[in-house]
Amino acid sequence: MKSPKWLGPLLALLIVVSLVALIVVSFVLSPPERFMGERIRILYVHVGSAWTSYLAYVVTAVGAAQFLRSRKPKWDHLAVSSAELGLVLTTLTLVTGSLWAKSTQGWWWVWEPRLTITLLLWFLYAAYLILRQYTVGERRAVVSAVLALAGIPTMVLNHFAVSIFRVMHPEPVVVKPGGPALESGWYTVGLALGVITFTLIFAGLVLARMRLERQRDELAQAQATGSIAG
Amino acid sequence: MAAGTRAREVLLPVLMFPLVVPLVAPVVDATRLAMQGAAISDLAELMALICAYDVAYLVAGFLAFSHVLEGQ
Repeated sequence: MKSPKWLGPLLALLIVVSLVALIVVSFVLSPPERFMGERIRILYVHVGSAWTSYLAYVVTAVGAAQFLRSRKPKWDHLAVSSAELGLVLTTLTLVTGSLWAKSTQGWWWVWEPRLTITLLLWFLYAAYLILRQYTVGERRAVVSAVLALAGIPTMVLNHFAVSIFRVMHPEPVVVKPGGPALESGWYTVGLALGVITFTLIFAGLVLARMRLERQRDELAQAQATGSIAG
Repeated sequence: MAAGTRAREVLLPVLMFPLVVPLVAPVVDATRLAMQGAAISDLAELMALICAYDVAYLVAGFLAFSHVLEGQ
């Protein structure tokens, strides 16, 4: 997918601005929280990466569906770029979540709805990327697209499956009916900035990764037709 | 999806695991409840999940089949 020339630099600029703002808010402006103390600062990273790791799966699934419909390689590039970033972001979510939970709740891990879904999401990304290692060409794009789409019912069903069981992950406090329930406005600003920053970083990296994937494709084609030496 | 790839034996469990978890979890829980003598109405939610899984993957299988097995 060819993106306009100005999009990359614009995204880069936005990323720098929001990243600086996020760092300033989360380390300087945000006061320690009443119960969590300084550990609230972990959440500015955790919430942003969690949101983006789910967004990445949606993007991967959209890319996969569009690829199966149109068979245009750009959609496969979108899917794989998003999946790779999704794996990284899910890892970050699990690590920061564990650190936060250990320091505030006293456990590293519990088999609890949201944690389990996120771990499963991690496994899905891993399976997707491993599958791509063992296949080539259009066949790789097709089977990985099918896997990405087959993962959707899994995530949806799990959402319902785990909501029957106990809940230990804190409920949403910023986006919920009746408005934010945090005492200082800076907490809300920090969490929102975290989400914005991670989304921008995700978009920027997906664009860069898609360019790389397209160039790899072009190189492979050039080598296959013998126009340049392998 | 693992059929036709070079390392199908290795790949199958890797691909299967995330896809069967939403089936295994409610099945295990339903079995546990049934063994403890729970009423059938207590199992309704779990049975609904299991049925939803069946329907979802039956449909997914029909839709995906031609894509997965093309060119073999």
